Amino acid sequence: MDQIIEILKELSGLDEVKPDNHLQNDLALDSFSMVALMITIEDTFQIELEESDLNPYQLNTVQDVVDLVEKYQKRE
Amino acid sequence: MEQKEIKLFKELCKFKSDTFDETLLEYATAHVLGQMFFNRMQGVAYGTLCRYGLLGKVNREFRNSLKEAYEQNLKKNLSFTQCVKEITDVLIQNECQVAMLKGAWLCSHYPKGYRTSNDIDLLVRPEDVTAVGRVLESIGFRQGYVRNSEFVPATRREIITSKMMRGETVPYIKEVNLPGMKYLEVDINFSLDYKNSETDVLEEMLKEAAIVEEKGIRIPTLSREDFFLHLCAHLYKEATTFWWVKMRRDMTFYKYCDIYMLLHELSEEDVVKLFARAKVLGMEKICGYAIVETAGLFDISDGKALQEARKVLEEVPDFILQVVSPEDKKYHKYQTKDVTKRFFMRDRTEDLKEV
Repeated sequence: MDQIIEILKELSGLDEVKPDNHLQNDLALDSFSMVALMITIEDTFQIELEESDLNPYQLNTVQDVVDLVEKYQKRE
Repeated sequence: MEQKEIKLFKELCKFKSDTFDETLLEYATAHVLGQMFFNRMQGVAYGTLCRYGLLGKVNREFRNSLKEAYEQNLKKNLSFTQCVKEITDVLIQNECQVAMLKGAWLCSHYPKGYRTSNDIDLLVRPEDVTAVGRVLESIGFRQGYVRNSEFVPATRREIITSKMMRGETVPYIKEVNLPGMKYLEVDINFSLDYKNSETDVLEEMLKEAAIVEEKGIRIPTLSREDFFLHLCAHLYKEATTFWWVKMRRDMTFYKYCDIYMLLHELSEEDVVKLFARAKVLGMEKICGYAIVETAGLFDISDGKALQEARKVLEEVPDFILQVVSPEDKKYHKYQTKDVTKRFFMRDRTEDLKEV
Protein backbone atom coordinates (compact mmCIF):
# COMPACT_ATOMS: atom_id res chain seq x y z
CA MET A 1 0.00 0.00 0.00
CA ASP A 2 2.74 2.47 1.00
CA GLN A 3 4.61 2.06 -2.27
CA ILE A 4 1.44 2.65 -4.25
CA ILE A 5 0.61 5.74 -2.21
CA GLU A 6 4.11 7.08 -2.94
CA ILE A 7 3.70 6.43 -6.67
CA LEU A 8 0.35 8.22 -6.66
CA LYS A 9 1.72 11.18 -4.68
CA GLU A 10 4.42 11.51 -7.30
CA LEU A 11 1.97 11.30 -10.21
CA SER A 12 -0.65 13.61 -8.71
CA GLY A 13 1.73 16.09 -7.12
CA LEU A 14 -0.32 15.90 -3.89
CA ASP A 15 1.16 15.59 -0.42
CA GLU A 16 -1.57 13.35 0.89
CA VAL A 17 -3.22 10.36 -0.81
CA LYS A 18 -5.77 8.13 0.91
CA PRO A 19 -7.07 4.66 -0.05
CA ASP A 20 -10.58 5.93 -0.73
CA ASN A 21 -9.41 8.79 -2.96
CA HIS A 22 -10.83 8.70 -6.46
CA LEU A 23 -8.09 8.57 -9.07
CA GLN A 24 -9.71 10.99 -11.49
CA ASN A 25 -11.85 13.16 -9.22
CA ASP A 26 -9.56 13.53 -6.19
CA LEU A 27 -6.10 12.97 -7.65
CA ALA A 28 -6.92 14.48 -11.06
CA LEU A 29 -5.17 11.67 -12.93
CA ASP A 30 -5.83 11.96 -16.66
CA SER A 31 -5.47 9.16 -19.21
CA PHE A 32 -1.74 9.86 -19.67
CA SER A 33 -1.20 9.62 -15.91
CA MET A 34 -3.14 6.36 -15.84
CA VAL A 35 -0.77 4.92 -18.44
CA ALA A 36 2.19 6.13 -16.41
CA LEU A 37 0.65 4.56 -13.30
CA MET A 38 0.37 1.15 -14.96
CA ILE A 39 3.92 1.29 -16.30
CA THR A 40 5.32 2.35 -12.92
CA ILE A 41 3.39 -0.40 -11.14
CA GLU A 42 4.75 -3.04 -13.53
CA ASP A 43 8.32 -1.78 -13.03
CA THR A 44 8.08 -1.37 -9.26
CA PHE A 45 6.43 -4.71 -8.49
CA GLN A 46 8.03 -6.66 -11.35
CA ILE A 47 4.70 -7.85 -12.70
CA GLU A 48 3.12 -7.90 -16.14
CA LEU A 49 -0.50 -6.86 -16.02
CA GLU A 50 -2.89 -8.83 -18.19
CA GLU A 51 -4.72 -6.94 -20.92
CA SER A 52 -8.02 -7.66 -19.18
CA ASP A 53 -6.75 -5.64 -16.21
CA LEU A 54 -5.63 -2.67 -18.28
CA ASN A 55 -9.06 -1.16 -18.03
CA PRO A 56 -9.38 2.42 -16.74
CA TYR A 57 -13.09 1.85 -16.09
CA GLN A 58 -12.26 -0.78 -13.47
CA LEU A 59 -9.75 1.38 -11.63
CA ASN A 60 -11.63 4.05 -9.76
CA THR A 61 -10.00 4.44 -6.37
CA VAL A 62 -6.55 4.08 -4.82
CA GLN A 63 -7.82 0.90 -3.14
CA ASP A 64 -8.66 -0.56 -6.59
CA VAL A 65 -5.01 -0.12 -7.58
CA VAL A 66 -3.85 -1.75 -4.34
CA ASP A 67 -6.23 -4.69 -4.90
CA LEU A 68 -4.96 -5.10 -8.45
CA VAL A 69 -1.32 -5.32 -7.37
CA GLU A 70 -2.16 -7.69 -4.50
CA LYS A 71 -3.93 -9.99 -6.95
CA TYR A 72 -0.68 -10.42 -8.88
CA GLN A 73 1.49 -10.70 -5.76
CA LYS A 74 -0.69 -13.54 -4.45
CA ARG A 75 -0.10 -15.47 -7.67
CA GLU A 76 3.67 -15.56 -7.12
CA MET B 1 -15.58 13.53 -61.52
CA GLU B 2 -18.13 14.02 -64.28
CA GLN B 3 -21.69 12.83 -63.77
CA LYS B 4 -21.29 10.03 -66.33
CA GLU B 5 -18.11 8.85 -64.60
CA ILE B 6 -19.96 8.77 -61.30
CA LYS B 7 -22.76 6.81 -62.96
CA LEU B 8 -20.28 4.29 -64.35
CA PHE B 9 -18.58 3.92 -60.97
CA LYS B 10 -21.92 3.11 -59.39
CA GLU B 11 -23.00 0.82 -62.22
CA LEU B 12 -19.85 -1.26 -61.83
CA CYS B 13 -20.40 -1.53 -58.08
CA LYS B 14 -24.02 -2.71 -58.36
CA PHE B 15 -23.13 -6.36 -58.76
CA LYS B 16 -26.60 -7.49 -57.66
CA SER B 17 -28.36 -5.46 -60.34
CA ASP B 18 -30.09 -7.12 -63.29
CA THR B 19 -29.20 -4.43 -65.80
CA PHE B 20 -26.11 -2.54 -66.97
CA ASP B 21 -26.06 0.65 -68.99
CA GLU B 22 -23.40 -0.10 -71.61
CA THR B 23 -23.40 3.46 -72.93
CA LEU B 24 -21.48 4.46 -69.79
CA LEU B 25 -18.44 2.37 -70.74
CA GLU B 26 -16.96 5.20 -72.80
CA TYR B 27 -16.46 6.98 -69.47
CA ALA B 28 -14.08 4.28 -68.19
CA THR B 29 -11.44 6.84 -67.29
CA ALA B 30 -8.49 6.97 -64.94
CA HIS B 31 -10.73 8.85 -62.50
CA VAL B 32 -13.18 5.97 -62.32
CA LEU B 33 -10.38 3.42 -62.09
CA GLY B 34 -8.73 5.36 -59.29
CA GLN B 35 -11.99 5.51 -57.34
CA MET B 36 -12.38 1.75 -57.77
CA PHE B 37 -8.99 1.09 -56.21
CA PHE B 38 -9.28 3.78 -53.54
CA ASN B 39 -12.56 2.23 -52.45
CA ARG B 40 -11.42 -1.41 -52.72
CA MET B 41 -14.07 -2.11 -55.35
CA GLN B 42 -11.80 -3.33 -58.14
CA GLY B 43 -12.76 -6.99 -57.72
CA VAL B 44 -16.46 -6.18 -57.80
CA ALA B 45 -16.03 -3.99 -60.89
CA TYR B 46 -14.17 -6.73 -62.76
CA GLY B 47 -16.80 -9.27 -61.73
CA THR B 48 -19.57 -7.00 -63.02
CA LEU B 49 -17.84 -6.53 -66.37
CA CYS B 50 -17.36 -10.30 -66.67
CA ARG B 51 -20.95 -11.02 -65.73
CA TYR B 52 -22.32 -8.85 -68.53
CA GLY B 53 -19.67 -9.94 -71.04
CA LEU B 54 -18.41 -6.37 -71.33
CA LEU B 55 -14.66 -6.87 -71.01
CA GLY B 56 -14.14 -6.40 -74.73
CA LYS B 57 -16.10 -3.15 -74.70
CA VAL B 58 -13.96 -1.31 -72.20
CA ASN B 59 -10.55 0.24 -72.89
CA ARG B 60 -7.49 -1.94 -72.41
CA GLU B 61 -5.86 -0.11 -69.50
CA PHE B 62 -9.07 -0.07 -67.53
CA ARG B 63 -9.76 -3.74 -68.22
CA ASN B 64 -6.23 -4.99 -67.56
CA SER B 65 -5.81 -3.08 -64.32
CA LEU B 66 -9.05 -4.50 -62.98
CA LYS B 67 -8.17 -8.00 -64.21
CA GLU B 68 -4.82 -7.97 -62.46
CA ALA B 69 -6.38 -6.70 -59.25
CA TYR B 70 -9.10 -9.33 -59.44
CA GLU B 71 -6.54 -12.10 -59.88
CA GLN B 72 -4.59 -10.76 -56.94
CA ASN B 73 -7.83 -10.79 -54.95
CA LEU B 74 -8.36 -14.46 -55.79
CA LYS B 75 -4.91 -15.31 -54.43
CA LYS B 76 -5.50 -13.26 -51.31
CA ASN B 77 -8.90 -14.88 -50.80
CA LEU B 78 -7.34 -18.36 -50.85
CA SER B 79 -4.63 -17.36 -48.39
CA PHE B 80 -7.08 -15.58 -46.14
CA THR B 81 -9.51 -18.51 -46.13
CA GLN B 82 -6.68 -20.81 -45.08
CA CYS B 83 -5.87 -18.44 -42.20
CA VAL B 84 -9.51 -18.21 -41.12
CA LYS B 85 -9.68 -22.02 -41.02
CA GLU B 86 -6.51 -22.31 -38.94
CA ILE B 87 -7.51 -19.62 -36.48
CA THR B 88 -11.00 -21.10 -36.15
CA ASP B 89 -9.58 -24.55 -35.41
CA VAL B 90 -7.22 -23.33 -32.74
CA LEU B 91 -9.86 -21.15 -31.08
CA ILE B 92 -12.35 -24.02 -31.01
CA GLN B 93 -9.73 -26.42 -29.63
CA ASN B 94 -9.05 -23.98 -26.80
CA GLU B 95 -12.76 -23.42 -26.16
CA CYS B 96 -12.49 -19.69 -26.78
CA GLN B 97 -15.84 -17.98 -27.08
CA VAL B 98 -15.30 -15.55 -29.92
CA ALA B 99 -17.12 -14.21 -32.94
CA MET B 100 -15.31 -13.32 -36.14
CA LEU B 101 -16.51 -10.04 -37.60
CA LYS B 102 -16.59 -8.32 -40.97
CA GLY B 103 -14.14 -9.66 -43.57
CA ALA B 104 -13.58 -13.05 -41.95
CA TRP B 105 -17.09 -14.09 -42.97
CA LEU B 106 -17.76 -11.62 -45.78
CA CYS B 107 -14.77 -12.67 -47.91
CA SER B 108 -16.24 -16.17 -48.15
CA HIS B 109 -19.78 -14.92 -48.61
CA TYR B 110 -19.06 -12.62 -51.57
CA PRO B 111 -18.39 -14.17 -54.99
CA LYS B 112 -14.70 -15.14 -55.16
CA GLY B 113 -12.31 -12.26 -55.78
CA TYR B 114 -14.82 -9.54 -54.94
CA ARG B 115 -13.69 -8.71 -51.42
CA THR B 116 -10.44 -9.11 -49.58
CA SER B 117 -9.31 -8.58 -46.04
CA ASN B 118 -5.91 -8.37 -44.43
CA ASP B 119 -7.04 -9.00 -40.91
CA ILE B 120 -9.33 -11.12 -38.82
CA ASP B 121 -11.41 -9.21 -36.30
CA LEU B 122 -12.42 -11.15 -33.22
CA LEU B 123 -15.10 -10.04 -30.79
CA VAL B 124 -14.51 -11.36 -27.28
CA ARG B 125 -15.69 -10.62 -23.76
CA PRO B 126 -13.36 -8.15 -21.99
CA GLU B 127 -12.37 -10.79 -19.44
CA ASP B 128 -11.31 -13.17 -22.23
CA VAL B 129 -8.89 -10.80 -23.97
CA THR B 130 -5.82 -12.22 -22.23
CA ALA B 131 -6.78 -15.87 -22.76
CA VAL B 132 -7.48 -15.38 -26.48
CA GLY B 133 -4.23 -13.42 -26.82
CA ARG B 134 -2.32 -16.30 -25.24
CA VAL B 135 -3.88 -18.80 -27.63
CA LEU B 136 -2.73 -16.64 -30.54
CA GLU B 137 0.76 -16.35 -29.05
CA SER B 138 0.89 -20.14 -28.74
CA ILE B 139 0.68 -20.42 -32.53
CA GLY B 140 3.28 -17.79 -33.26
CA PHE B 141 1.45 -14.47 -33.15
CA ARG B 142 3.14 -11.48 -31.52
CA GLN B 143 1.71 -8.10 -30.66
CA GLY B 144 3.07 -5.39 -32.87
CA TYR B 145 2.79 -3.51 -36.12
CA VAL B 146 3.85 -3.94 -39.72
CA ARG B 147 5.95 -0.96 -40.73
CA ASN B 148 7.65 -0.75 -44.12
CA SER B 149 6.63 -4.35 -44.76
CA GLU B 150 8.44 -5.57 -41.65
CA PHE B 151 7.09 -6.70 -38.30
CA VAL B 152 7.94 -4.42 -35.40
CA PRO B 153 7.08 -5.79 -31.95
CA ALA B 154 5.06 -3.48 -29.71
CA THR B 155 6.75 -2.14 -26.61
CA ARG B 156 5.11 -2.63 -23.24
CA ARG B 157 4.34 1.10 -23.20
CA GLU B 158 2.56 0.81 -26.57
CA ILE B 159 0.49 -2.15 -25.37
CA ILE B 160 -0.53 -0.34 -22.16
CA THR B 161 -1.20 2.98 -23.90
CA SER B 162 -3.34 1.39 -26.61
CA LYS B 163 -5.47 -0.49 -24.11
CA MET B 164 -5.77 2.28 -21.50
CA MET B 165 -6.27 5.24 -23.81
CA ARG B 166 -8.01 3.86 -26.88
CA GLY B 167 -9.58 0.72 -25.44
CA GLU B 168 -7.87 -1.35 -28.14
CA THR B 169 -5.45 -4.22 -27.99
CA VAL B 170 -2.34 -3.92 -30.13
CA PRO B 171 -2.85 -6.23 -33.15
CA TYR B 172 -1.53 -9.78 -33.06
CA ILE B 173 0.60 -10.42 -36.12
CA LYS B 174 2.18 -13.52 -37.62
CA GLU B 175 4.37 -13.86 -40.66
CA VAL B 176 2.43 -16.37 -42.77
CA ASN B 177 4.19 -15.88 -46.13
CA LEU B 178 1.19 -16.97 -48.18
CA PRO B 179 0.49 -15.80 -51.74
CA GLY B 180 -0.61 -12.17 -51.59
CA MET B 181 -0.32 -12.17 -47.83
CA LYS B 182 3.00 -11.88 -46.03
CA TYR B 183 1.54 -11.14 -42.61
CA LEU B 184 -1.76 -11.99 -41.01
CA GLU B 185 -3.16 -9.57 -38.46
CA VAL B 186 -5.70 -10.53 -35.82
CA ASP B 187 -7.49 -7.75 -33.97
CA ILE B 188 -9.13 -8.51 -30.66
CA ASN B 189 -12.19 -6.33 -30.04
CA PHE B 190 -13.80 -6.37 -26.64
CA SER B 191 -16.29 -3.58 -27.05
CA LEU B 192 -18.79 -2.49 -29.64
CA ASP B 193 -18.30 0.78 -31.40
CA TYR B 194 -15.37 1.04 -29.02
CA LYS B 195 -17.28 2.26 -25.99
CA ASN B 196 -16.84 0.13 -22.89
CA SER B 197 -20.22 1.19 -21.61
CA GLU B 198 -21.85 -1.00 -24.25
CA THR B 199 -20.81 -4.24 -22.59
CA ASP B 200 -24.42 -5.39 -22.35
CA VAL B 201 -24.83 -5.24 -26.11
CA LEU B 202 -21.59 -7.13 -26.52
CA GLU B 203 -22.72 -9.80 -24.06
CA GLU B 204 -26.09 -10.03 -25.79
CA MET B 205 -24.44 -10.45 -29.19
CA LEU B 206 -21.91 -13.01 -28.01
CA LYS B 207 -24.69 -15.06 -26.40
CA GLU B 208 -26.25 -15.48 -29.85
CA ALA B 209 -22.93 -16.17 -31.63
CA ALA B 210 -22.49 -19.56 -33.29
CA ILE B 211 -20.30 -21.47 -35.70
CA VAL B 212 -21.66 -21.16 -39.22
CA GLU B 213 -20.56 -22.90 -42.37
CA GLU B 214 -19.88 -20.66 -45.35
CA LYS B 215 -18.91 -22.37 -48.60
CA GLY B 216 -17.39 -25.28 -46.67
CA ILE B 217 -15.55 -23.16 -44.12
CA ARG B 218 -16.50 -23.15 -40.46
CA ILE B 219 -16.55 -19.65 -39.02
CA PRO B 220 -17.51 -18.66 -35.48
CA THR B 221 -19.51 -15.48 -35.94
CA LEU B 222 -22.48 -13.43 -34.82
CA SER B 223 -26.09 -14.24 -35.62
CA ARG B 224 -27.23 -12.96 -39.01
CA GLU B 225 -29.02 -9.93 -37.54
CA ASP B 226 -26.21 -9.07 -35.16
CA PHE B 227 -23.59 -9.39 -37.88
CA PHE B 228 -25.52 -6.91 -40.01
CA LEU B 229 -26.01 -4.55 -37.06
CA HIS B 230 -22.33 -4.69 -36.21
CA LEU B 231 -21.47 -3.72 -39.79
CA CYS B 232 -23.92 -0.83 -39.52
CA ALA B 233 -22.34 0.34 -36.26
CA HIS B 234 -18.86 0.12 -37.73
CA LEU B 235 -19.88 2.03 -40.86
CA TYR B 236 -21.71 4.63 -38.79
CA LYS B 237 -18.81 5.19 -36.42
CA GLU B 238 -16.28 5.75 -39.18
CA ALA B 239 -18.56 7.88 -41.37
CA THR B 240 -19.56 10.19 -38.54
CA THR B 241 -16.28 10.73 -36.71
CA PHE B 242 -14.52 13.94 -37.70
CA TRP B 243 -11.02 12.49 -37.56
CA TRP B 244 -12.01 9.74 -40.01
CA VAL B 245 -13.48 12.36 -42.35
CA LYS B 246 -10.21 14.26 -42.14
CA MET B 247 -8.22 11.09 -42.91
CA ARG B 248 -10.53 10.39 -45.89
CA ARG B 249 -11.33 6.98 -44.49
CA ASP B 250 -14.88 7.81 -43.45
CA MET B 251 -16.83 6.60 -46.48
CA THR B 252 -14.80 3.88 -48.17
CA PHE B 253 -17.27 2.34 -50.60
CA TYR B 254 -16.63 -1.33 -49.83
CA LYS B 255 -18.31 -0.89 -46.43
CA TYR B 256 -21.49 0.29 -48.13
CA CYS B 257 -21.18 -2.54 -50.62
CA ASP B 258 -21.21 -5.04 -47.71
CA ILE B 259 -24.54 -3.58 -46.58
CA TYR B 260 -25.82 -3.51 -50.19
CA MET B 261 -25.08 -7.20 -50.65
CA LEU B 262 -26.67 -8.25 -47.38
CA LEU B 263 -29.73 -6.05 -47.98
CA HIS B 264 -30.40 -8.04 -51.15
CA GLU B 265 -30.55 -11.22 -49.12
CA LEU B 266 -33.14 -9.98 -46.64
CA SER B 267 -36.75 -11.02 -47.05
CA GLU B 268 -39.49 -8.77 -45.63
CA GLU B 269 -39.69 -11.11 -42.66
CA ASP B 270 -35.91 -10.79 -42.15
CA VAL B 271 -36.20 -7.00 -42.16
CA VAL B 272 -38.86 -7.13 -39.43
CA LYS B 273 -36.58 -9.39 -37.37
CA LEU B 274 -33.60 -7.13 -38.01
CA PHE B 275 -35.33 -3.98 -36.78
CA ALA B 276 -36.79 -5.83 -33.80
CA ARG B 277 -33.29 -6.90 -32.83
CA ALA B 278 -31.96 -3.38 -33.47
CA LYS B 279 -34.59 -2.06 -31.08
CA VAL B 280 -33.59 -4.52 -28.34
CA LEU B 281 -29.95 -3.49 -28.72
CA GLY B 282 -30.67 0.24 -29.01
CA MET B 283 -29.20 0.32 -32.53
CA GLU B 284 -32.26 1.29 -34.58
CA LYS B 285 -31.00 4.69 -35.69
CA ILE B 286 -27.55 3.37 -36.55
CA CYS B 287 -29.16 0.60 -38.59
CA GLY B 288 -31.41 3.15 -40.29
CA TYR B 289 -28.41 5.36 -41.03
CA ALA B 290 -26.43 2.60 -42.75
CA ILE B 291 -29.40 1.48 -44.83
CA VAL B 292 -30.44 4.97 -45.95
CA GLU B 293 -26.89 5.97 -46.89
CA THR B 294 -26.30 2.69 -48.73
CA ALA B 295 -29.60 3.06 -50.57
CA GLY B 296 -28.54 6.54 -51.66
CA LEU B 297 -25.19 5.37 -52.97
CA PHE B 298 -26.65 2.35 -54.77
CA ASP B 299 -29.74 4.17 -56.06
CA ILE B 300 -32.14 1.91 -54.17
CA SER B 301 -35.45 3.69 -53.92
CA ASP B 302 -37.83 1.14 -52.45
CA GLY B 303 -38.08 -2.00 -50.35
CA LYS B 304 -39.07 -2.92 -46.83
CA ALA B 305 -35.62 -2.26 -45.34
CA LEU B 306 -35.50 1.29 -46.69
CA GLN B 307 -39.06 1.95 -45.52
CA GLU B 308 -38.20 0.82 -42.00
CA ALA B 309 -34.95 2.76 -42.01
CA ARG B 310 -36.70 5.96 -43.05
CA LYS B 311 -39.31 5.39 -40.37
CA VAL B 312 -36.77 5.20 -37.53
CA LEU B 313 -35.03 8.34 -38.78
CA GLU B 314 -38.25 10.32 -39.30
CA GLU B 315 -38.02 12.15 -35.99
CA VAL B 316 -34.28 12.81 -36.26
CA PRO B 317 -33.78 14.07 -39.83
CA ASP B 318 -30.34 15.54 -39.02
CA PHE B 319 -29.01 12.22 -37.71
CA ILE B 320 -27.71 11.37 -41.19
CA LEU B 321 -25.80 14.64 -41.47
CA GLN B 322 -24.09 14.75 -38.08
CA VAL B 323 -20.39 14.27 -37.56
CA VAL B 324 -18.84 14.29 -34.11
CA SER B 325 -15.38 15.13 -32.94
CA PRO B 326 -15.08 13.09 -29.71
CA GLU B 327 -11.84 14.73 -28.55
CA ASP B 328 -13.37 18.19 -28.15
CA LYS B 329 -17.02 17.03 -28.14
CA LYS B 330 -17.83 19.29 -31.08
CA TYR B 331 -20.67 18.52 -33.44
CA HIS B 332 -20.59 19.26 -37.14
CA LYS B 333 -23.29 19.05 -39.77
CA TYR B 334 -23.03 18.35 -43.49
CA GLN B 335 -24.60 21.05 -45.63
CA THR B 336 -25.06 18.66 -48.54
CA LYS B 337 -27.85 16.14 -48.06
CA ASP B 338 -27.26 14.08 -51.20
CA VAL B 339 -25.00 11.20 -50.18
CA THR B 340 -23.60 10.70 -53.68
CA LYS B 341 -22.56 14.35 -53.89
CA ARG B 342 -21.00 14.07 -50.44
CA PHE B 343 -19.22 10.86 -51.36
CA PHE B 344 -17.50 12.34 -54.41
CA MET B 345 -16.40 15.58 -52.73
CA ARG B 346 -12.68 16.21 -52.82
CA ASP B 347 -12.64 17.19 -49.16
CA ARG B 348 -15.78 16.50 -47.14
CA THR B 349 -14.58 18.53 -44.17
CA GLU B 350 -15.20 21.65 -46.29
CA ASP B 351 -18.91 20.77 -46.36
CA LEU B 352 -19.11 20.49 -42.55
CA LYS B 353 -20.31 23.33 -40.35
CA GLU B 354 -19.88 23.31 -36.59
CA VAL B 355 -23.22 23.30 -34.77
